[in-house]
Formats: sequence, C-alpha cells, structure tokens
Amino acid sequence: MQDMHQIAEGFDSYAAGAFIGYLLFLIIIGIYSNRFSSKGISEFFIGGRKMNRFVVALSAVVSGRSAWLLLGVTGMAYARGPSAVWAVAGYIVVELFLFLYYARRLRNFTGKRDCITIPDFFAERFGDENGKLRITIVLIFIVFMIGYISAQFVAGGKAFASGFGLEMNTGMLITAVIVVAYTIVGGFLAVSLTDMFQAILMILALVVLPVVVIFNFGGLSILLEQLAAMNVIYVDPFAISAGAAIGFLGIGLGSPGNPHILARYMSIDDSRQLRSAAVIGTIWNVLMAWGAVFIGLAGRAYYPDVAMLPAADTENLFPVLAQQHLPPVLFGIVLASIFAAIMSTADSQLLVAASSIVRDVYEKIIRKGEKVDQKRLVLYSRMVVFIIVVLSLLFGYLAENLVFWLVLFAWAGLGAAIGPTSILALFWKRTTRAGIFAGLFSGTSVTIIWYFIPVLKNSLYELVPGFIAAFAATWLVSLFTKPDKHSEQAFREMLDDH
Amino acid sequence: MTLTFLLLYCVNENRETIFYMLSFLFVMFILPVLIIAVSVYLAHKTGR
Repeated sequence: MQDMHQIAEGFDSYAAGAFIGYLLFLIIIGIYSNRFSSKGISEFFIGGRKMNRFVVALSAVVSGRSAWLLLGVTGMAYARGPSAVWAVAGYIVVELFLFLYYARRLRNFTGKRDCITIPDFFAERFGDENGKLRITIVLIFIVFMIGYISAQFVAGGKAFASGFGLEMNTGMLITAVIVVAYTIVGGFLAVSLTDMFQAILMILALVVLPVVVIFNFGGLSILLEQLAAMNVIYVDPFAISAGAAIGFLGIGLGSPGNPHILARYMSIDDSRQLRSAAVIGTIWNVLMAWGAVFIGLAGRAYYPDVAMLPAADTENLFPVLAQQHLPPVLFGIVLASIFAAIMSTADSQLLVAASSIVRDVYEKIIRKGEKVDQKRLVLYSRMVVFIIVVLSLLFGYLAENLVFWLVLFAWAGLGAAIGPTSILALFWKRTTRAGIFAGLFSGTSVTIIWYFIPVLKNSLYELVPGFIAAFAATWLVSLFTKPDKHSEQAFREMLDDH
Repeated sequence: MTLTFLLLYCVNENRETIFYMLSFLFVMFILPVLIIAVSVYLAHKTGR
C-alpha cells in the first residue's frame, strides 16, 4: 500500500478540483434526467427508445469496456508488447457487425413487441407461455451480474486506494454511492448521458497520454529502437501462440451475450441510425484500444523492470505514467477516466439486473396478465437498484475472492450462453425454444468445465469452446424439434425498419 | 519518423528487425485505419 501512495502523492488541489467537478457533473446529469425517466419502466430501463446515435454508439462501447481496457490492456501491452492488440481487435470487429446487422433486427423486433429486456425478447420470440425460458435467462443474468457489479465496486475501491490513499472499503462505498445516486434518480437516460461524457474522458486520457509520454521519450523511433534493443517481442505484434491469438480474438464473442451492451441497441430511436452509430462506435473503440496498447509499450521503455512500478503491478502503469507526465488538471482527468470506465460499466449492469427483476420476474411472472401502474413500477425499479447495490457491496466486502471467481466467468459465461442463442434467434428461422434451452445450458457449462481443466484452460480461452458448444447445441436440438409457427411473422418484424 | 527508422534499418546490417518493424507499422498504424475504413464502407453498403 505504501507504494500505491506514490500515485496518490501526485494528487494536488488542481487534480482534486478536476476530479470533484467530474463527480458533480454526473449527479447533475442524474437530476436532469429524472423527469423523463420517471414516466414508466420503458423510459427508466431503455430510455423510452428515444436515444440518438451518438449516445447509443458511445454508451455501447464504453459500457462494454470497464477498467479492463485502461488498466488491464495497458498492463498486458507492457508485459507482452504489441501482440496485446489482438485482445482488442476481436471485440472491435464483432461490435462493428453487431451494430450493422444484429442490432437492427433486435431493435426492430423489441420495438414492435414492446420488449424492454433480453429475457423479454426471448420470451416473445419463442412464445414462452409458462415463463420457464424467461426465468432461466433471468437466473443466469442475476448470478453473473451481481458478481460483475460487485467487481466494479471492488475496482473502484482499489482505484480510490491508489489515487487518493483512501482505505479500499471506503473507496468501494464512495464508488457505489455515486453510481447509485445518478442511476436511481435518472435511470437509463442518466446512465447513457454519463456514459457519453465518460467516453469523452476515456478517449482524452487514452489519446493524450500516449502522445505526451512518447514525445517526452524523444519520439516514436527512439522508443521503438529502445524496445527492440530490450527484446524483439516488444516490437513484434505476431509474437503470440496460435491458441493465445484465437483466445484473444475470441474475447469479442462475449459482446453479443452481455445484456448491458444489447440494451443500448434496443434504446436507439430509429434502427436506420445504427449504421452511423456503427462508424462512431468503431472509431471510438479503435482510438481507445490502440491508445491503451501504446501506453503499455511506452511504459515498458520507461520502466524496463516491473519492480519499478508501484506494488510491482502492471495495472498501476496507467496512473503512474499520467502522474509523472501530465499537468495536475490532466492527471485529475486521467484518474476520473479510470472511474469513468468503472462506473459506466457498473451503472449499465445495475439497470440490466434491476430490469430483469422488475420487468421479468415481477411484472411478467408474479403479476402476469394484470395492468400494473407505471409509476409504481418505476418506484420498485429504484428500490431494486438500491437493493442490488447493497447486495453487491456486501458481496464485495465479504467475498472478494468469490467476486473475482464470478467475474472471470461473467463475460465468458454470458457471452457463451446468450451470444450464440440470440444470434440464431435473430438470424435463423428454424431456431426453436428447446434449442435455446440446450444452447443456454451447454454454453454456461462448457465455459465453466473448460476453465477448471488446466490443460484446456492453458490452451484456449474458455469463451471460444463455450460459444461453439452453445451454437452447435442450439442448432442440433432445433433441427430435431418442432419448428416454431410464429417464426415467419417474427422475421418480418425484425426486417421492417418502420 | 517510423519510416525514417525503417530506412535506417534497411541500410544497417540488422535486417531481421525490418520484418518486425514492418509488421509493427502494419498492425499499429494501418490496421486501425483499415478497420475504420471497413466500418464506413459497410455502413454505406447496408444503407443502399
């Protein structure tokens, strides 16, 4: 912890001013969004499907990234050189295709059937009368999402500890209080607007910092010369095994299965706007990802030995480089960008988890067939958001190891279970309800089993076999079960942009 | 700058480094531009 205070020491009153200004701005956005989000649960959970292309594009890309990009990818590029780029290239390409093809069908269908959540989409697509499909997906979401949210709070606590020298538990509490404040007050609109603002902060940090540190080093050619002299892997983007390359590229397969990303696609005002959102999102993704890799490369030249970093942890590279190379106000913005990455993911996951409970469990199962007052549903939604935050915090305080165990599977587990099943549900008319059950079960179980067998785990990232297994199971079981008679109509609705 | 660096290596005896530098140039500078260009092309194509 003493080492971590090296970063905290750079935090003067200017940096504090920039950081506090950022936090206040988040709360103001929450208050601004309150009136709109209080109208009903469609407004509270997916912004009444009135979000424009900029908000959707930026919100979708930053809510999918979390602190992994700022701290994890920079650390990965520090450790293994430019081959870290394959860990970001996969999801960028996958998300481009999601924006262009997948999101259009999802938005059209969910808009026409008034679906607010992903379980809602599956239930409508496969005529889930008894609610078993809906509740299965909700259970998968809740297990992974609470672990996921908890992990964001733990990451927030760690960032407060290294940035401000606070106790980790206090940092976790502050992170949770800020997220819960604007999420409860402003709902999806506040979450999307803050995500957009946070996307701007993240790109500022990820583009400005590498330019400044490389310039201070004497330029790119000197940096590359130094890296090549240290070890050729630091300039060779292909210094990676085939298994690792497939695993890195396979990270992108998680995107179509993570509901906090999919909810963004459902919220756009017009599905035709998704084309420009695809370009905006891709530009943002590329700049952030390549910026993170360049930071890692520059970091290796500045700190040739990992022991030179605070706590000998590669994840401290990003804040320590910022502290040493940027003026205090910009350092404050860089620190804010770490919180931006954490909060933009936590708030989106929080809304998805709450929507599964209020919409899918309460409104569609417990009060099935009844007319429930929208204002009351919004009130319940706010209460559920609060309860989930408390549970996630307790989980983070009491079972930090379990949280990280769950989060290891969250991206891969959700990606393997929901990704292939939703792709087939949107693109293959012959997909059946039984096929979806088979895909959900096999995707989740193969991911977990693969992880626990060391030989398999060391050869390939578990999401890849999990995804393939779920895809194959959905396809095979669908072929041998009775076709869904409503598929034709569902596909007409998916392809109709009006 | 990178090009200057590459040229310097071309005239030096350490030629195997040229391969790494060319791949670095492609992956770190050309690939991101290519991805953005493909996104613009596909967005335009799906709109027709």
